[in-house]
Amino acid sequence: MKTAFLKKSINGLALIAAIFLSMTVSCQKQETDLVPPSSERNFSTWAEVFESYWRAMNYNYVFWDIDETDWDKVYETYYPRFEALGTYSMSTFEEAGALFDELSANLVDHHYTFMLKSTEYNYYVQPSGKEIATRDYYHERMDLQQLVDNATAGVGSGRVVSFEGAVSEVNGSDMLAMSYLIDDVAYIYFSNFYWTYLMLYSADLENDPLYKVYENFFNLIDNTPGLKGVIIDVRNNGGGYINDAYYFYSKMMGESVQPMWTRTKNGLGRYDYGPWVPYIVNPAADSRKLDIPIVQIADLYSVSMSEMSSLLVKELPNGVLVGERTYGGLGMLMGDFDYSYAGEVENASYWIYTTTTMSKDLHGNRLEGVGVIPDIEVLFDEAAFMSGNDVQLEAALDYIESAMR
Amino acid sequence: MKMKSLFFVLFAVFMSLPEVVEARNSDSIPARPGRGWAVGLSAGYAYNMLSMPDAYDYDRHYMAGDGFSVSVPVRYGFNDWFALSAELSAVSKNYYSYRMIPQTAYPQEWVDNYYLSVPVYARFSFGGERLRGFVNAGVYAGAWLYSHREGYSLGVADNTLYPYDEAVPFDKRRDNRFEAGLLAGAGLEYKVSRHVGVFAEARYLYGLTDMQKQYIGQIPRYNNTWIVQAGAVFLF
Repeated sequence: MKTAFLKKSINGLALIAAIFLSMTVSCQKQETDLVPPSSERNFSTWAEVFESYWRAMNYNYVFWDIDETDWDKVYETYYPRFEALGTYSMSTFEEAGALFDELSANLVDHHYTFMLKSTEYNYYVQPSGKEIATRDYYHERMDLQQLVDNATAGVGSGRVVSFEGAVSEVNGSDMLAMSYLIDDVAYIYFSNFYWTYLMLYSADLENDPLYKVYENFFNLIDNTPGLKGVIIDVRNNGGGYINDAYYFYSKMMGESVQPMWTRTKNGLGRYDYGPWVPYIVNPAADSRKLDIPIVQIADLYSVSMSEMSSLLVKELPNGVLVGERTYGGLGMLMGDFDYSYAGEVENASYWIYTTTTMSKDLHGNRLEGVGVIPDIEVLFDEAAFMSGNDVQLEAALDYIESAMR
Repeated sequence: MKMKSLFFVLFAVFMSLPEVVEARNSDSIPARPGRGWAVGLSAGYAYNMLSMPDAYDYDRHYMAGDGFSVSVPVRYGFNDWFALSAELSAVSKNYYSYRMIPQTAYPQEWVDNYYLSVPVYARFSFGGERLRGFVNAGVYAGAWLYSHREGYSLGVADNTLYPYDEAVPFDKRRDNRFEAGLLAGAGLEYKVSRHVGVFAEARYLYGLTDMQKQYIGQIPRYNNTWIVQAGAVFLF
């Protein structure tokens, strides 16, 4: 009996030992060779630069859910080609840039810009610029000087009154803005959504010429008897601050509006996404609660906040979007990598400009790479525009006129 | 260190149990207890730890989550000390994640993952006629059936925390819905009568399959689960 017991004991001990030994050896893979791409430096080969870039995109790019680029295949195809370039040097800088251009050609993020750095010059890659050139309504950017000239011609004819215009440097870029009254409609144009920056950082806001344009616009709304409508022109507007919605649209809205949903990464895994979060804009406490038509004009080059605001206007009960299908860059840049460990990355060798979030409209439609579709489509007519006939502006005015009848 | 301590505890339990003693009374137990078929039901508490390597998302923290386990074990005893068992087992393997840095996208999240699996294991028992100790060792394989998450997300424009409570849609590019791993357990079974026994068991499930499908540069993640359960068996 004792022998049998001993035998059982030994068998049991051996089994327990085998089980736990196998577990402690650890069959679970461990990936520990990960550092923030922003801290990577001292590359000695182009293969190392590519590896760093590829990993940064692998973990931080928020569009893998909808992007058709096979990122594993990109690694398998291009790593050998970068390896063949050898040492990280200026002699092969141009070739390396061309490879980055080629491999990212179909990335869907329409904010995405890649800059390969050197001490001599930088190589830029922007696939979205090539994509929009394939659209059947593609045209060159609207001539902003002609836009101003068309307005001042209107001043001369008396059709445009209370004109205010300015160009100033804001947030490191030149911003053009003008506002006036035309056909009893308050009109404003601005080339960037930098009102937040202006409001917060202008040294003398009251006397800032851009602020005068802003102030003029709202004065026209408040003090024009029989005002028929409002036109916000965001053509050729490169976007800017999300918070501009509160300095602008909130002051005209009567109720809260959700233009779209956004989401970002919730883990470093390629497809680790958090839930969709509502993007909601509330009316300001001192909102004018306009019940007259609010018309926004957008074009092919309206991007980012220009597009988000276009969605906002479309969701207003009295809002309408006139113009063309927009650029298709509706992600947001949160400016803080810790926000979700996603988005923009920069190190000593490259800069990846890509958004922190992706968006879909209220109806669940994907917008990235597609753009916002106008309620009233009016394509840009360059020839007419350059001769003083802005067909998109005229269409917006016609809509307001018909809506008020 | 925890593994070694558990090893010695189990060994001590193993060695301290009394030898088999033949006895007969009005509710007599067969001369060779443990032989034959048995089927049962058990339920218990599951404590799941998500095993992921540290990466550069320094402020994303994962903590073990509480869950449940329900099983229908079937076993065949070859003799008084060795049996083979299989179970149909439903286990929730949950975890919690949080951020410490303010103004982050998803500051808190509870994730519940529900699995149905079939553990198959060898069972070694020892001890007396009524009270016997046992150790289990084997494998399990099954499917990830359903996932649910609840938490808060930060509004991008208004800094408002929006609660969410939703099923997590499976993504066939991402989710590896097959799971398998190793199993080890130990416990005590008490024969209430000739045909009925009750038992309590502590069990450890060590995941061998990554929750995500393979891709280059993948950051692996595994479920490792402690289960403490109690149940009853009917011995044929």
